[in-house]
Amino acid sequence: MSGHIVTVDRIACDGFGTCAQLLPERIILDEWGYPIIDPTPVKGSEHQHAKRAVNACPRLALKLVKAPHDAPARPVAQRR
Amino acid sequence: MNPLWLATRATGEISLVLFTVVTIMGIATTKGWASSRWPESVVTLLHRNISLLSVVFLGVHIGTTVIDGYVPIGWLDVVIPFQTTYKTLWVGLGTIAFDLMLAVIITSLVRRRIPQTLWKGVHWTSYLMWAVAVVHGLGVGTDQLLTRVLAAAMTALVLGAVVARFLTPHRQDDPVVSVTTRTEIRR
Ligand code: HEM
Ligand code: SF4
Repeated sequence: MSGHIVTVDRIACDGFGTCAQLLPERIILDEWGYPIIDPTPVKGSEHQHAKRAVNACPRLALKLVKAPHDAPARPVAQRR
Repeated sequence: MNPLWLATRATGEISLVLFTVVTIMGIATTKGWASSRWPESVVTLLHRNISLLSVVFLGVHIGTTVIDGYVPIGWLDVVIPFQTTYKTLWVGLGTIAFDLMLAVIITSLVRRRIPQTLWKGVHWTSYLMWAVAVVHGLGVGTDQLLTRVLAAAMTALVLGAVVARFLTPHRQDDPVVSVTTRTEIRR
């Protein structure tokens, strides 16, 4: 299933990084342990894996939501 | 020795150990207690999965108690407390622990569909559930020494974790360490 992206509710997030361990192909952690997430739509083959990370989030802060129309199709260049 | 009675006792003790582990893993999830061997994701998933496993043992514990029929405990006594003639108080405490456990498990399974304050409120009762279960075990326990030694050991573990839960500060990662980790993950 495509057309979905992974997002985080930063207020609810505990910053312990469970999601980055379960979905390293999409999530890295910033210097405080909060997730930085690949903004591109989740590919069909990835969906199951993304779902597993979403379900394991202790704060229900990680979500799979319908991608907005302006979601980038390719990863944006890493900003410094 | 009656095999059903033996099963009741064995699964009761196993349930106590499992719920102790689940309680400590829950606290570890909340506090972010983890190491490289036991990363956060493993702790969280163990908390959930062992809690589901412990339901199975608790189910056998209760099922064999009723089926055994040596003491008059019926199916209604499984959910309605203090109706048994046999050790009314101690068996009733077991019933209360079971009801609380059902509430904690069911709200957790539908957590996405209920308000988070409700989930958390019910989840807090798991501390009470654990304590009530320990008292139930000590009260009904016929094998006094094993029951007491095990209950003492499990109590020490949970008390230690509870003290650490409320007295240590919320975990704050060292930013310098995290930057190193991030660079490794980024490849
Ligand atoms: C499907 C089953 C369960 C799920 C999905 C689940 C999930 C969770 C989560 C996500 C947390 C961390 C909350 C946070 O970080 O704010 C937690 C904490 C906790 N859980 Fe569970 N849990 C389950 C069953 C149980 C059971 C059966 C018990 C009873 C022993 C239990 C006892 C605890 C305790 C004591 C805490 C720590 C609460 C605190 O001090 O804040 N959980 N659980
Ligand atoms: S698993 Fe959830 S709470 Fe933990 S860091 Fe990721 S989004 Fe935040």
